[in-house]
Amino acid sequence: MWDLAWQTIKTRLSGFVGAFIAILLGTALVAGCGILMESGLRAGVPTQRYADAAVVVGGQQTVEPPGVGALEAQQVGEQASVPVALTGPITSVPGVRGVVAEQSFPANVVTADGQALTGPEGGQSLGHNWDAAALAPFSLRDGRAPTGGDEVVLDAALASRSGVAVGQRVKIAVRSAPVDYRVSGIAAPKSGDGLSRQSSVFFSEEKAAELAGVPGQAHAIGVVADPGVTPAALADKIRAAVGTDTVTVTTGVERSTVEFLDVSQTRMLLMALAGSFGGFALLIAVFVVASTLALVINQRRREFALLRAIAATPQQIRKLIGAETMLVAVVAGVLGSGLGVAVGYGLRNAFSAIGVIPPDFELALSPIPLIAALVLGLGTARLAAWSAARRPSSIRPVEALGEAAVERRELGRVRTAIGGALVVAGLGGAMVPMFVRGEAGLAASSGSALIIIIGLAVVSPKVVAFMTKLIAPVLTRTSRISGYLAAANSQANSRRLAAAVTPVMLAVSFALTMFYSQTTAAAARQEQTVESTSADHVIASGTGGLSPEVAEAARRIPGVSAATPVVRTEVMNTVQEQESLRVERYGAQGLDGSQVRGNLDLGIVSGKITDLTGNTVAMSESEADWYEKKIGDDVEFFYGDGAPAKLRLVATYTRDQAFGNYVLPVELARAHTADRLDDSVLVRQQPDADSATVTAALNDLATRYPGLVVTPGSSVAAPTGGQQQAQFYVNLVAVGVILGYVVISVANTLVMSTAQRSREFALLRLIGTTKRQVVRMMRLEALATVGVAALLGTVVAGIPLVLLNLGLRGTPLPSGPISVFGGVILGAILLGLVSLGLATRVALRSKPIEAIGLRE
Amino acid sequence: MNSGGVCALALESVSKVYGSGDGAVTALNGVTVGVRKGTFTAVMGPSGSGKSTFLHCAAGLDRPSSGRVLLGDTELSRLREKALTELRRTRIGFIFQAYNLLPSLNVLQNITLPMRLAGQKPDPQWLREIVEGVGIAKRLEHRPSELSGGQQQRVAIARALVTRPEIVLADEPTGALDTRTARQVLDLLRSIVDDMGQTVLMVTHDPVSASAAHGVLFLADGKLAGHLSQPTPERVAERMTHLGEW
Repeated sequence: MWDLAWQTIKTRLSGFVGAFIAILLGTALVAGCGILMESGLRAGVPTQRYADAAVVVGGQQTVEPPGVGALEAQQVGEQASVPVALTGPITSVPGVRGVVAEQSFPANVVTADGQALTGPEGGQSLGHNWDAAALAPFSLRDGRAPTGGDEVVLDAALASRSGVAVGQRVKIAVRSAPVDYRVSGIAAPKSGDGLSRQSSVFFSEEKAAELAGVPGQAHAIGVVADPGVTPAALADKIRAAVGTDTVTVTTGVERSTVEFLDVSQTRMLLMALAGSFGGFALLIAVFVVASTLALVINQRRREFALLRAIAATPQQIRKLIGAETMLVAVVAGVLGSGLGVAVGYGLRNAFSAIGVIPPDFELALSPIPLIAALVLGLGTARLAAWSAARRPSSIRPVEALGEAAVERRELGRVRTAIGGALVVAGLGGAMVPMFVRGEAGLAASSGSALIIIIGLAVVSPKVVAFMTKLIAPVLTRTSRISGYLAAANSQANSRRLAAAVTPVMLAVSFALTMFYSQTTAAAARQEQTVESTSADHVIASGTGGLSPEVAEAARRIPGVSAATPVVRTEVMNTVQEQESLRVERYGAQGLDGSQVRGNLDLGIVSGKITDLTGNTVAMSESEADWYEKKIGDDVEFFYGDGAPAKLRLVATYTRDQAFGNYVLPVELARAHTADRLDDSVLVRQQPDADSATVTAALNDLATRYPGLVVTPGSSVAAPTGGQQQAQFYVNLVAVGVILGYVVISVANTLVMSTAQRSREFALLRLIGTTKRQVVRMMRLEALATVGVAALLGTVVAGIPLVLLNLGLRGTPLPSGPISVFGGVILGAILLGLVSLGLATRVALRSKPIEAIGLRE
Repeated sequence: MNSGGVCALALESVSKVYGSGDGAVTALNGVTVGVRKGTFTAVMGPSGSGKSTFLHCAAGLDRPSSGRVLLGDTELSRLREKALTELRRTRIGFIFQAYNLLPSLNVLQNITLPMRLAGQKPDPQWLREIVEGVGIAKRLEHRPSELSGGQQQRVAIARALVTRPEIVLADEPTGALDTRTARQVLDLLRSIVDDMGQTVLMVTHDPVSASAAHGVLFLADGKLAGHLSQPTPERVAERMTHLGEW
């Protein structure tokens, strides 16, 4: 069977080009995603502060309660700390030469003109204990180590930006108003003046512990190894000594996950992205490969009928098609896996260009994702071949005796039933956002769009036949000859048309769903945020966070009636799903319950928000319902840093788009973030207060708290939290790549199905149709094809989107720029016109009398 | 003209009805025929007489609604699809009007295809005998597209013979050929019967083609309408004219 397959492929190369390209690109996409996924597991950036530490021990980075599988565990959203007491047991591990507990906290130098300096290129500026300087290592270039509480050492780059030298005084702000210090020394790492991702300020041991603010805890513990001890071996021993329940023990590039929050965030993002995106890519690859194969196979019906007649069993036909596909797939898959490396790096560069991942984030490369992609690519091809081979294998051999090459029209009853069931299920799923709010509703909405697409794709010849029946009179009216012919073609060959319509429909609805569900969610958040905020002023920070003292200070200003700090964070909770337990992340905010009134309206349903103090929590109504919690019940979940929480429920509210599912007392929220700063402060003035005076007084706070910015309450922004914004751009890139794939496949399908029609064109011209009429006929056919596809795609995407908007925003019209919709439709039309037009021109190039003589 | 115990193929009261109810069409109506071993039989009839259905039922490509089809001792109507396919592959040879060959295989590969599908090796001696017999020994490496129509039909005949089938069924084998080439193909068919002892059943509507056979069966309205031995084109044409009048 294999040599027969090889023989066929050799002579029918052009027919297999489509499947080849589809598999090649599909594998490349999956391999690219695989590389990103692997990088999410084990890649990072080169460590900076811990370059000389063989092993770095940090806080636990995943939330993994008992009963949750390792794959279902969640990365923490905030960096957790590690107990200083662990230095004891680690010191006694053989092979350890030195152990340093490192403190880390935001510390910004304030220049003479009141400017707070960030790190290089807007990065962080962090304070540490001087002992931890040995981990990088920093060495003194000038002066001496800080000894007293008022002495600091700056890195050389920061010192030159601040314009200070040894012996001079410098103002430094650490979660409070700036304080005067004396520069006792200037230090530099092994190369250069400072680190590229951060600025460093070193304090004395006691001062650093005091400023870090959590007694007995440190940011990390760095371990320097004895010469000849490998980091991996040492890490194993340390794990054995301290356990891994509350800490993570890292080596190599992993150390950067302890050092930088954005690295662990990036890893999490890559994992999530690669998972869903890779899944999509795979699904689309199955469809594209199957439809390309189906097209080729449909064109070879006579051949298969002949084979059946001269005695090939249906099974042999299936085997032949399978073997042909596999031969093509192996070559395409191997090349595609290789191409996947380029895709992986391309995606990485795109993501770093839009700022979702750090530019210095290196990918981890190993053969595993490439092999996995190859296997998946072959599996996809196998599946596609199986589905495409079912029909030809059941061809009745009698067909070989007949002359006709007209398509069979009817679809299998099973296929129709499956397609119908999927569409109905999808429509049902689209109703979910009407009843379930928040992320779950959003997920259900895009999921259901996908199910409807799959369902329609399964019955596409039927749907297309129906649509062409509607379009035919229009075409005929548009143009008497070309339009009449185009209509006849479309109606007679609905299967050929379906092969072109399905992927275009898929692309259109996919693009629309992805884009507009994101803009809808963002709009819903923004609308609800604006609606629920009645504050007169918003105080934010230009340096990354506000001192917790700012809210207090604002409250003391005459004319201010309330000022609540806002801390945006995340919490995690377990979700029981059938048999398995999953950890889910939710948006959360920290607010001051006593200061909320007048500033914010959460849409309280039960309880009182003023009770939000101490060990209490407020939950969105839907979340409280889900966990069946009532006011006064204890709610258990995990803080952003992974610490377990057990808080009394004091209020439930409806505006979960603006506030997330959990609202915590600000002290609790702040304590479980890494920098323990506020994101903003909302200020409400007394009704009779003079707005200008209050604004001036608030602006005056900037002299005490450098970097502080006051804006009017109307400018309040929804909690984009970086995450959602990032997700949006990530989706955009992902959709772009998948669309590119679909476009190539569609163009390929259209060209293939047109090139096969040169005999038909020749016949038309011999019986007196002009070249121009043929071209026009094809143009109309192309328009009909993409028209049907665009219409179906819009409807398929539109139904869930309208329902989603009704559920989230109470209005049916999706939010977002209309130009994207126009662009998608225009792109589809261009795609159809260009690929059909080119193929038609090529097919028309030969003289009709020669073309008609061509054998099949 | 009946069996006499040496029939390669026998149809016993075979009827074939397409559709059901008012729309039912009776394509064959109680046809009983025996094809003796080592004979060249032509089946003739006007359009719609049931020729094609007759051939399909005889070949096991279609199932009769009632009656029996016997290939040697095997009753085809009882066999399942897979068994039928295997039977066609080893015991029946096929020649169609056109599009007989797989374009991607060369002549030799096309000829040995049935053996390959059956997982058998062709007997080299027999292979040489038939390719020389049909006169394409010099063109084994060519692809079908490089052959003339007549040469393609010769390849098809060689392929039909390669498994040493009990009967060769031909459906308008000269329908797409010019008169001279058609004559050569018919002579070849006649010679595989006379020289190799093959049994050939050929469906045609051309009196000249039919006259190449030992005997002609006439079909009209799904029924057997007569038999002619030692046919000449004139006599066949005369009978056909009568059939048309019926």
